[in-house]
Amino acid sequence: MENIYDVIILGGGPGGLSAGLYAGRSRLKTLLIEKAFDGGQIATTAEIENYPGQMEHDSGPSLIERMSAQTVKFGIDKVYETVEEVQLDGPIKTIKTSENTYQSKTVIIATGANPRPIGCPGEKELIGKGVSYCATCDGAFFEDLEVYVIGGGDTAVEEGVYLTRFARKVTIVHRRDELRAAKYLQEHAFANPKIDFMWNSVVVDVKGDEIVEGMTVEDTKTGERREILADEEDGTFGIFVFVGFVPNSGLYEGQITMEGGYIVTDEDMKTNIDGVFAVGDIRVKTLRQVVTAAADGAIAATMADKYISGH
Amino acid sequence: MVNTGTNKRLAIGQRVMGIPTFVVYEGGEKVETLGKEDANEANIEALIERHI
Repeated sequence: MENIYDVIILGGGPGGLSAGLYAGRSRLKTLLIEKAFDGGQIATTAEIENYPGQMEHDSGPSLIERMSAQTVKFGIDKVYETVEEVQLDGPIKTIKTSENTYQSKTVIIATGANPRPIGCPGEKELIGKGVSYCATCDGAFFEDLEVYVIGGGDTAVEEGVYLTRFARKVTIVHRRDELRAAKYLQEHAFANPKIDFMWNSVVVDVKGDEIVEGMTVEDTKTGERREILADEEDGTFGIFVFVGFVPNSGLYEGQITMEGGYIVTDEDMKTNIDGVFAVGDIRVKTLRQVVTAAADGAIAATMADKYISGH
Repeated sequence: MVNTGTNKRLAIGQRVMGIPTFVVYEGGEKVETLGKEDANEANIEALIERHI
């Protein structure tokens, strides 16, 4: 068959784009498939302070725009389609999308992860009606309103600080009695007069008629439950959820070795299947960041090149 | 089209606190809402076809 790609990259976040950049520069015939918009989780991140060389006060979307332009410059193909089925075994891999079927000698999986929901009653029904997983997208709705941020990791604290630009008050609700976020972020949060903390607390339900009007919080130590209602004048408040991630790996189940939904690779990004690599947040790793995803992408594209040329 | 950034009270009144949200009004009455979780290509197309 004429139209067999050297590399197909699944996902257009930092890992996928970096793999595309390296594959393009190696003159590999490369296709990148993205289902929605470039950037993955970074496209919804307000500010990125820890990517080396990143400009001060620059946003996630702006970083991604530069990455994307840089990748395309090296001549890879890019389509916006949803992958529905993958066949990864054998020397030629097949990727079926909603519109087309593609074939390739190697596949680099960079489909990342999505925000994990709290999983309590009322949460799902009120997404976009007060419940949000993206401060950049929905923060402005909460100008001069109260906002609760659920979680205590880097994302929760960082986005909590960002939300003080809009909200009258931000309360970080965390299930432990101390934050897990980087110390630098914690210092920022503790110094911010608009940020308050609710320790040892978990949200057990969200209530409201077509808009968030209240929630119940349970004390993890005493089991005591307390209802938080919207200020009468406001009529609503925001619940921003940052309690971890779920890997987007459902497509590869039964084909690739995984651990808890994350793909297992070696340090060269190789999975258990020849010619199939995984990069970024979807793989088993300690640090899930833009810088590590980009590094993974560079390694995977280089190893794909070696695999194709038989070295 | 409502710019929710500059019409916050209106947005709250209409129960819209996230974008994108598609709301169909007929004769001033809210008849259908398509929130961000379901706002994919197929659903938007179906929504338009149902009402236009």
